[in-house]
Amino acid sequence: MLQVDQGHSLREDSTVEGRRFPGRGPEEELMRALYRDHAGPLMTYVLRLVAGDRYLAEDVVQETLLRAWRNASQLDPSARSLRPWLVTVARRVVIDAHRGRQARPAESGPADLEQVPAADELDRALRMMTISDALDDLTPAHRQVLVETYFKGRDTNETARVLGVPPGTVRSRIFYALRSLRIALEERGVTS
Amino acid sequence: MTEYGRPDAHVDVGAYLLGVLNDAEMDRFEQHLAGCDTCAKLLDELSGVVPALAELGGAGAPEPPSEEMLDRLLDEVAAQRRTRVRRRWLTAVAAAVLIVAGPTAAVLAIQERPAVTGVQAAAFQRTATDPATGASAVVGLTGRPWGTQIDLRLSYVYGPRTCHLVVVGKDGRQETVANWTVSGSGYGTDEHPQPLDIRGATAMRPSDISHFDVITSQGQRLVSVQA
Ligand SMILES: [Zn+2]
Repeated sequence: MLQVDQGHSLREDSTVEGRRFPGRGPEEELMRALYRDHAGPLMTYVLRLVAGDRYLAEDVVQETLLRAWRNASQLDPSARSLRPWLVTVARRVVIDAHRGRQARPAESGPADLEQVPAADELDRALRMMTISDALDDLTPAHRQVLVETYFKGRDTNETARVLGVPPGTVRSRIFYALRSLRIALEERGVTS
Repeated sequence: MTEYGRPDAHVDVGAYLLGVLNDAEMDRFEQHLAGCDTCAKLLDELSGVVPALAELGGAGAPEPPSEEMLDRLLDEVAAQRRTRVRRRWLTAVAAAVLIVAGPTAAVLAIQERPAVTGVQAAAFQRTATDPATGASAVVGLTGRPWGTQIDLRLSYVYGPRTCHLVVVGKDGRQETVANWTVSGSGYGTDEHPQPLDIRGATAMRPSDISHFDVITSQGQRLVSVQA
């Protein structure tokens, strides 16, 4: 017998439940886990694959994570084995995006990618994602100082102005960031 | 030896390794390095980190995905869950049909999760409803190597008439990217609830687009959507 009590009848209907508490439930948890563990490193890899096109890279990462979620019953989202799967799917999404261009001459770029990555390319991609994981281990301040100097090509004084901190702080942050990164890389078995 | 006054001379080994000291600072550090065993050791210890960073370079700074991506992903999860709830009901109907129709109808009950397509699959979605015409539009933008894929979903449009979709660039450039006719019953109306789904493409990049206009052949603007 259905009660005319709002609270109870709402709980009967899983779609209403889903709408009232968006972001709850095992399906959402799975998607959050995929995003948390893989979106950043995958973005690093895909950005390289699409020559820095941020819009395209976002599309590719989003589509890849969505496919991982759809195939979750055959995949273990926490396992290291998911990474090769993600790399392979991301490459395929990039290839499909290129096939989608209509009647435009081929530009230099990833258009000539093979459907399946060669072993050494896969290794390189996985290593890159692991380095990205290590970088994510740093505190935000340490990560930021490496991005602002090394990756954006600014010297320590320019960076000090951008971040609004004394130049000495930038220099010491770089030092401690590199020390932390060395440890994070070692823990993940990345050696040069 | 505080971080804020004259910093510990040894810590400059980090910025030196990254190559981000200016010339004067570099000279000063190299003079220090020539007589400092601590820095020689640190230089050795940290030198392996820089090649690892270099492996990430090449495509600019490593950028985290936008926060909106997680929202879009969770929206997809919610949308597909709703589809599945509906399908469970359909499956029950199909099972009932099965008794009458025989084994071929069993195909109905075995379905994959549907691929998300059209405007729902777009990377960015924008919506607008025109208060005067009542027309309602959802525009999906997806960046592609060649430009932007545009998915339009239109509701509350009445016919008969012919319409087109115009993309307006931030530089004022205009491009018609799709044409279509609307029959008497319209789209997304009481008489014909199915909305209209149209796809177009432009060489403009998503970041170069200002807005989209749906225009009738008489030149009336039905709805305008900001990119
Ligand atoms: Zn020293």
